Amino acid sequence: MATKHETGAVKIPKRRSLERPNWAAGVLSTLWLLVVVVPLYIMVKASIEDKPHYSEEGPLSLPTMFTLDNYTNALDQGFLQAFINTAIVTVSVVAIVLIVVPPLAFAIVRSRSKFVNGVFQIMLLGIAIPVQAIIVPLFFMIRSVGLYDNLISVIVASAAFSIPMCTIVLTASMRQITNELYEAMSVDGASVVRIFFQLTLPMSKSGLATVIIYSAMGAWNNFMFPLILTQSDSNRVLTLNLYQYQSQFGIDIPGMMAAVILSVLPILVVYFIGRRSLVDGMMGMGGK
Amino acid sequence: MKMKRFVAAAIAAVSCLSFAACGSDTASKDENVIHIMSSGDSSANMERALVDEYNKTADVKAVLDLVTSADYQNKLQTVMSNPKSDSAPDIFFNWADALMIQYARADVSAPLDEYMEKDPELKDNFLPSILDAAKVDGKYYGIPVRGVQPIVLFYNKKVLSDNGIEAPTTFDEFCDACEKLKSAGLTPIALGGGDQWPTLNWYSVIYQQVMGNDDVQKMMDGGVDEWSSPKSKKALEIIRDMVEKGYFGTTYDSVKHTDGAAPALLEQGKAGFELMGSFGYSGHKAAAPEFTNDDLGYMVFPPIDGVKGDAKDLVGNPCNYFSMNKYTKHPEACVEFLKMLYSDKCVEDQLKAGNLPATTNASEMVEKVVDNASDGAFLEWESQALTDAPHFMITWTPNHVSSSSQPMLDGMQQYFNGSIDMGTFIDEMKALPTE
Amino acid sequence: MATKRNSSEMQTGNAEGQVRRPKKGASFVGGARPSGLWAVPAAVFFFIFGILPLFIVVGLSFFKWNGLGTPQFAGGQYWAQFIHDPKVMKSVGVTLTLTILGIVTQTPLSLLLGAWAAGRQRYRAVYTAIYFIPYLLSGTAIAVAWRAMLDPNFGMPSKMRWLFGDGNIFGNASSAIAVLVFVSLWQFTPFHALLYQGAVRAIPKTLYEAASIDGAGRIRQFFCITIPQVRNTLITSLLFQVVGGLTAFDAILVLTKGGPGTDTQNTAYYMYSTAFKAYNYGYSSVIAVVLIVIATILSLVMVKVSGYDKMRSELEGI
Repeated sequence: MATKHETGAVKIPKRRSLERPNWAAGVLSTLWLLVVVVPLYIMVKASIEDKPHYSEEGPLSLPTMFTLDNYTNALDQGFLQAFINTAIVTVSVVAIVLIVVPPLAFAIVRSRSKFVNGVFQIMLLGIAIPVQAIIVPLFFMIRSVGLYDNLISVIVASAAFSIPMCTIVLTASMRQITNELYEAMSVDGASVVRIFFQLTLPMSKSGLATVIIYSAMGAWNNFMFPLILTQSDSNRVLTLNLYQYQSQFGIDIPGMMAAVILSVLPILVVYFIGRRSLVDGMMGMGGK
Repeated sequence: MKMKRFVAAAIAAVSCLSFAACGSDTASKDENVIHIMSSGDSSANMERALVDEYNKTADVKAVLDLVTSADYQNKLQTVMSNPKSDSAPDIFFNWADALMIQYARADVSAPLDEYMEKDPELKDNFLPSILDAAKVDGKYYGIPVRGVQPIVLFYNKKVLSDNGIEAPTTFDEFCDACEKLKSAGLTPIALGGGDQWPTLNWYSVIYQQVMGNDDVQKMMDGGVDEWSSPKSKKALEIIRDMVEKGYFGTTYDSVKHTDGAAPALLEQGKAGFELMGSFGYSGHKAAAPEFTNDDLGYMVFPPIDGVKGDAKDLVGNPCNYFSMNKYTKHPEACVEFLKMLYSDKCVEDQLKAGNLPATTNASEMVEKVVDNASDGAFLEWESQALTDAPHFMITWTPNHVSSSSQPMLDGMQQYFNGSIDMGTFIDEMKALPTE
Repeated sequence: MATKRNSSEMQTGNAEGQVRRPKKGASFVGGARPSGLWAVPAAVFFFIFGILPLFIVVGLSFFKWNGLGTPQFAGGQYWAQFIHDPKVMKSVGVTLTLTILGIVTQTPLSLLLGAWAAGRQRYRAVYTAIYFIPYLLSGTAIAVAWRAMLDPNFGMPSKMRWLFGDGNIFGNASSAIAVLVFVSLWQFTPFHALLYQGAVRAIPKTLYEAASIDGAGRIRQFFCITIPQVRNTLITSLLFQVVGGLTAFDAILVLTKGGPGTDTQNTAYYMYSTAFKAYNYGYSSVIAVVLIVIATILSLVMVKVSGYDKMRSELEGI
């Protein structure tokens, strides 16, 4: 995993003090690991038991039985369709955000137009608008343009709502690019577009990484927009699928946990594959 | 540069996926079908079967739209805001009282009287006390669907007999039983106070007995003085007395019914009683089948001495209803569909699922249809209790508006656990929203 | 505009010791600049879905409507109701309490974890990967799992009386709030820790080397180098927390339903229950406006304090 850096670090004798084992941190981090793992254990354990076993033993005991029924049941309940829908929504939201936000942030940092300043001030005020506050009018707007029960409505609404926060993060990141670099490129006669693609974007990858995670996770776990803006089974997303395990008078905990684990597996895989570049991408949010 | 590649990949992925999305979008709304919108929990299998059965013969086919149950009501409200639009269903799943009234008065659900006149079976095949709960301003706005859900006192037979307790026949005996269970170190009564509505069960049952149906009804109709009447105070004293004596233990507000924690107390013999809608039976059945077959007891709440109400009266959810969109393009097809609700097939399916439908033929069909002895016994008992009850009161919704529910539940929880006193509680109930 | 630019120009001189140079003429600073057109797509997008509905919400607050039929003009009825409704202010109090407690708990923990995870040891990478999992789970599922774990009869309280007492955690306000804070700590710490991890890795190693030559211990290095160096990340993280705190909803819905009574009902939840449980869209719009005003004020303070409202590059015009 981190071999390249490790060997590099070991070769520099001056850094020995940093590599000295830190016992306090080791103990504390293991404690936190327990806090993280115990609930995860409970979720996994519940997901492999049937209802009578789960309810008899309670959440904390060791598993006494093993069944995949909850998983097959979750798969039967339209999991695949919901998964594909959620993937469509998430990828599209991230794509839209990546298409519209970087130019805006670039303009905010570099443009002198009053219009851009106005847009930025509005974005700043808009960062904390709760979705619940505007969901009712949004529903009527969506329906009047005929996009009700269509994933496109979920995509555009989710994307629009992650724009302010993403803009601010990315602007902060782009602000750290020095003016000398811009000047150097201008001396070469670079156009605005070239500056944007060859200087600004590559230099703000920490901001872009944050923006991607934030908008992707927001879209992946979004509940309110799909709930209000879609209706039919073919447009159901994972968060709504999960709600099937909650009826008016009861929750099927083992079934729900199996569905949760199924739905988290794909992003877990993505996370493990992309973890390194994610952390590397995050570098520089503060330091530079 | 990694980022650039990622962006390119993302854009490529999104364009592929949006083709897929467009593909599924082309199936636009078919004019010649009826849409049935219902709550998509485990009971919805009944509706699935119903739609399949109906589609075998019908010209205008039915499409079932199941909405996840926890937020069905929100969803219904938003789509019915324009009942003429394509997204609005032709038939929708509905509740008695506040919602029934709301949809009727907003002129979006259709009165069914004219269809009942044409076809009296649509009326006569249902229990009148249950059908009447769908009456708004003298007209019927719903046909009963799914099971009747009176509030029942469940108990653990084994826990009672182990502690030398007979099933109580009076409220005093019930209190004695609680004392004995308490001294045996058990929680006498399991209560999922975290969900709030299980606490309401206790208010409704005790008020019904202490005050009688008529006065409770006046209270629900907006009679604020009833809340501070001596009988109301008596009922409140009884409730608070039980709490203070520790019959519910001390942690009831941290226990939920919905996640199975409160029922588990009964199933595992950690508690003696639970007051719950009759759907509690199928909940026990799913979580603890053996206990349900062998040790689950049930009764109507025992009579309190020297009070006004009739102990045989019941309170609870009468059941759910299917209502018809007033602007449906296919009213005849809808009515044909609604008629299926009293068909033998439908009644049979419901009984097998453990629901007692509100049809007149349900009780006689129990024996024929239900194989499991304990399920059959429960359904028969329930059906008998319904027949014996002079009155079936609908779950409380003061002033018949949805907006009063949450403040009522908040107040009830707070008086129950002692964080507000009786005077404050009564004042809060008197000030409940009326619109 | 001019003053704004000046103030941002004043903000130069980072820890890395950028050389300050006299300001150049404004004629050709930094070369070609983007026009306002670059901002149009995002602006249009956000205006349609973010701003337009806000105006409708303000409008709705003057109408009586349950979602069915046509809205009827109600004048200032709901605003009058708002003035006499103690629940609104109480919910604002809950919102602020949850937000502040969230910041106070999440910031130190995620900063420590992030700094720790920035180390290159392999076991740290494994730990960090596991730490991240809660952030990937859906909020509803997390809340359901925690509720089961905290059940007084079957969960941890029954086995840990010394910590939980009789276990009536959701029965009184302070412990119910503590649970909400803890669960959001559990869920969101990974995200903030990840931000800090990246930031700490970007700190030049020479700073630490110089410090340890000077004899500064680990703790002093943390306070004198790490924290000042991740200042910008700290601000970003706070911004995320404030926004998350104001709009917190899922956990309350599943864990406490705002209870006991209304003791954990925050403004977003109160608005939701007024709109979608009580079907009073007029009054829920009033609460929505209140929430929007609070959110706006807080955002304004945050961005002013943090300097996020400066448009230009920090280093421009050096």
